[in-house]
Amino acid sequence: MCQNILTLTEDQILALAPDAASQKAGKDLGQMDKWVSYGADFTAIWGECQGSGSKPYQTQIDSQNIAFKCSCPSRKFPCKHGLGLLLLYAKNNAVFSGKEAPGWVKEWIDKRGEKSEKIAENVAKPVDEAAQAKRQQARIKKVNEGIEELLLWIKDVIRNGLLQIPGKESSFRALSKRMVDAQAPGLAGIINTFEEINFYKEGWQSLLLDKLITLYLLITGYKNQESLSHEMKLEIAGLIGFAQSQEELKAKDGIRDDWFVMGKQISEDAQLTIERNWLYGINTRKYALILQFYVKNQVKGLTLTTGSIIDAELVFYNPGLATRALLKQQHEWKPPVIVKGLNNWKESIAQQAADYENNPFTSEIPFIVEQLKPVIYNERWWLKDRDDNMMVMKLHGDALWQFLAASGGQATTLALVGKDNEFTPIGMWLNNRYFVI
Amino acid sequence: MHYFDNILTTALLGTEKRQLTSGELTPDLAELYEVIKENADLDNEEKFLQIASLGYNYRRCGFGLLKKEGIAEVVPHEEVNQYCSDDAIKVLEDILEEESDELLKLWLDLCLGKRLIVHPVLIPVLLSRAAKGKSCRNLIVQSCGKRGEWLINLNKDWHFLIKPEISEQDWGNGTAEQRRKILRETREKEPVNALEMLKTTWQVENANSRAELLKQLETGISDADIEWLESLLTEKSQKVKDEALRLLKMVSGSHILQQYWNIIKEAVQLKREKGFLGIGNKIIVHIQAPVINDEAIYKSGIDKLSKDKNTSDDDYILMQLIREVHPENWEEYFNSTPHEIIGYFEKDEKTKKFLDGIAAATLKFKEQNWALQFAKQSSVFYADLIPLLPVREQEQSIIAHLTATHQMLTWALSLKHEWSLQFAKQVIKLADEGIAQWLNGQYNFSTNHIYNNKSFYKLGIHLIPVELLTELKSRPQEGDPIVLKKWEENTGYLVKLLTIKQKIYKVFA
Repeated sequence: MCQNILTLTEDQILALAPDAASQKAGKDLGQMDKWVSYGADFTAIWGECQGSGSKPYQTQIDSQNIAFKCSCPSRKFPCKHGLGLLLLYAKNNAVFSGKEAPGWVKEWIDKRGEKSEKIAENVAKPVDEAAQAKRQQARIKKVNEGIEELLLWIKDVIRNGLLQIPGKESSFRALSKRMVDAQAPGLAGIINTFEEINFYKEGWQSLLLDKLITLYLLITGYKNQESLSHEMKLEIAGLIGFAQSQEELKAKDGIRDDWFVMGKQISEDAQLTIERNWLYGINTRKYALILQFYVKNQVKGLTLTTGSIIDAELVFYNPGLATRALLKQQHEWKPPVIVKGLNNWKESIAQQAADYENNPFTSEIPFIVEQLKPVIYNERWWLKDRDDNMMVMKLHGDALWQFLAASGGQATTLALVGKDNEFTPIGMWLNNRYFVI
Repeated sequence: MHYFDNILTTALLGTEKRQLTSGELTPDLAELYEVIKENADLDNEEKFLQIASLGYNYRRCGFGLLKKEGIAEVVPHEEVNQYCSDDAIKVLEDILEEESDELLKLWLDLCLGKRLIVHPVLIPVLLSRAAKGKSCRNLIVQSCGKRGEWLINLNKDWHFLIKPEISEQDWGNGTAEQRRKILRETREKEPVNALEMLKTTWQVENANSRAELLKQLETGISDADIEWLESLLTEKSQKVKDEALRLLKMVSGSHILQQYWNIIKEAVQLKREKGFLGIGNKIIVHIQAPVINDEAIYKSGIDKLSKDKNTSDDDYILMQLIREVHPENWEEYFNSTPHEIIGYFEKDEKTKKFLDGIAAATLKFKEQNWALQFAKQSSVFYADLIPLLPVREQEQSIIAHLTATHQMLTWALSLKHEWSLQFAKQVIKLADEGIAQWLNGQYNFSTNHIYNNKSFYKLGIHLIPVELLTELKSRPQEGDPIVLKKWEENTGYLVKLLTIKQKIYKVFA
């Protein structure tokens, strides 16, 4: 089980809301007097909320598998009634107990149970290994053809020069589609990031070359995988798009620790929301990245509250080389403690260099560094450590002012994420309290 | 040149045009490049890609740190005032969530009144709000303390929130806006000095500047300004002359108002009409055509011809003159009280209409006594005089005289004081029939139209007394659930705002 909805805090429940308006409306409905009836048992939480119609809205939550259902006409998911009911439960769960689920709740839960059983049956079906191997061979053939085409394209670009690229950005999309057809979605994803480059802004040249080099390294690594370690093979396969089965991963032993949730970065890619949760193991001193993908109107399976500490078991996708992990088992919330970070930038860049050496595909790296102070030099913001060494601070807009307002320009321990020589603060400790930036 | 710049230059131009040489790399990379070049299976592009890949990771692993000593610290000045309590911050968060400017203003007023400041975490949110709208701007800047000032100085988008400190020393060389401010502020404290200050630079000001600066003399205008203002009536610039004349018309002792009054006195007289054998003697206002011998009167803004076919030119001229002169003139001239004077004019339809002029003069000279008499006595209700009335009379006037709902609600919202409980109930009765019915013990919501009055409550929350909360909160315990639900919908928003208002008073008690 990932996480029990029955133990969610108010902040975590609000984090499930699709937008700020829903958060506000949900809070308003988190009052006892808004509900005509309510109850909960081991499987579900339910309630009836009087709306503008003659019949109250019937709201129900599958507490075992985090799912919401409501008879209101809202297209938002979860709707304000679902959020309100869950907030009410979080505040007053005692008054929910001892009630029998009405028919409409039982019916929904039973149907969900039937569906789960069908899925389980499908999973339990014996695997046709021969067919599976055939499919795998066919895919490898497609990927091989795809990467040969990609290598040809890269070599053409290098022969003719990067200066020919601006104005021909449409070729990226065609190439990306070709990689999707070649069943190499990871390569397609990297090519898609070419479109993020602003070809009218100085510095595009280096960004583009770095991405081309990354693709070339992946292609070369893939073609020479016999000579690589198991971990590096796994890393390259993952980056090309050979996904690891989550079920298989979960079957492996993980690392149990008190994991401090350093921060969350959210980005949008077409219809998909990508949530990057950065964690730090207090005892193991390991960093972990838990990715979560969801589309609009889909309930997140996992809610990690920034600044909280969870006793949990994480399984790493590639333990030797990368930080990406998944949450196998969450045990309990732990009280906040002061997290010990690195002493200075020297320690962090030494670690960073080791990571790059170990894995050239390493992208963003998280760190906790103590006593960093924001300063201005050459009209840029830097973070200066206690030895007067400085690193560029990549922080803009509201987040920058929030950070400066809270820190008051004083040295403080920061949680950061970044790469090369630019880092973004994502959280900080002030007076023994953790603030999200 | 840095080795990676050479790699980049080759990539930009293309390997067809430029070949990377080992001499352009570091010795470590150059050695590897020599090995790569010897690989006959690789074409030029792949040889380049291989050395570029090595250079890429070599660069990433070798990032150095910038060491700089003695860089100035960027820290704010120490706060003079204490931070407000955590409870006050929670209430502030509620206010920001509700986006209520009026509650925010109340919160900030009370916070500053207690010499407290906002916790730093909320400063950027508040400053962004101050940058977007003028409402509460100055209060926000003050409540953000030294840290707020520091952030404003760091963020160029917020620079305009702090106007540079200016003093009388900047009078000679400040910007036009600063000079107007200096003159206005000096005028508020020392009107005579302000006048002298203006006189010192008058000769070097251009016409526009003269007219703009003259406007600032409106504050604290008195007989002491007359002589100089009258000397300006011969200025070349029409703008300056017009402004001087406008100001002179605000001072009773000015020559122009004296001239107006003399014409009025000739035209309007109080006469005692004798009744039969002395029985039923009555005092009437006798009006005749005003005699204007000086054409300059017409150049002072008095029109000759009436624009209304029902008003004669003579009456129109007289009305314009009456609007300009101080109402106190009538008290001295008729040796009567405002109460008596209004009574004299009201006796006859022909004279009654001139009360409009006296009411306009009452507003112009902000004569509270006259305003009160008009409210109590006049058969015509002059809504514009409401702000001049004492607090409770303002409410009574609105209830007694304004019958159109929108007019009453608009005036109710314009009041500067918190409504009495009784008045609040009356206003809400109009604003929301549903709530009113509850207050009156009748709540048949199923048959009534429910108004959406959120915007009205949002605009007026600073005026609605917290005492109303007790009555609104006494929810009916029985009844149709649908009816009860509608009652809650109707009152819910107002209850929420009033609850926040109650908390504001509590956290700053």
